[in-house]
Amino acid sequence: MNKRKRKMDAVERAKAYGIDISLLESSLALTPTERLIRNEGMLALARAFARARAQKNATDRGTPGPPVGKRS
Amino acid sequence: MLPIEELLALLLEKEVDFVIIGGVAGLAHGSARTTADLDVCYSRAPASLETLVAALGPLKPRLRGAPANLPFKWDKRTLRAGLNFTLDTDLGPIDLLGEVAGIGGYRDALAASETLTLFNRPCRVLTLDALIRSKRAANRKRDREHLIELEAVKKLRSKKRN
Repeated sequence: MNKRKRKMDAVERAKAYGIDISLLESSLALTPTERLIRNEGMLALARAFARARAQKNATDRGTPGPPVGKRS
Repeated sequence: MLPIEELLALLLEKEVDFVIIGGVAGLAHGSARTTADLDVCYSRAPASLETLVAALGPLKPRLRGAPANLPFKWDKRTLRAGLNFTLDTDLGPIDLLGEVAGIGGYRDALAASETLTLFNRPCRVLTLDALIRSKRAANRKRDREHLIELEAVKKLRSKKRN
């Protein structure tokens, strides 16, 4: 009954928190420079998404409403 | 050349006294968290401030997130009057910290740093243990999240070594 809860190690704690350990392992397989290059790639992707989103919002705002006489 | 590579090259070529801290230091040690800015702890010695001003000057540093009409002059006087600066430059965002939570000023950060090769250049980077210490001391929500990840990185690295 008096079971002691085993203390989680740092990796288990991170896993429980929702951190993807496989991402850390893949990162640790790289050199520091490779990690920075990968980070820049992710940032470039995020910037491209943000640009696409802004473009879409602008297009949506400029879209004329449904033709007169028709209801959507 | 990538913007961060260019920014680091510039700081090193101009012999700015700095230690890489924050997200980029975390990445260098193995973190998988994406970061958009370069955080550095800089020396506030008068000669170092001059070097820093001259190095970043051509990149037109401006305050990040501040109202556009807020006057900001990039010079030694401004640096002396403040401590931490969150800046945008033509090569991307850079945060200049005069002091790091849990570590101290530039000299302390330098003592708590190691040389890592980034883009074929030797850079002073806060050690993983010091980075963990600084995250623990800063203790904001995002620091606590980063701390959990950095402690896991430390554990994985020690497992890898053994």
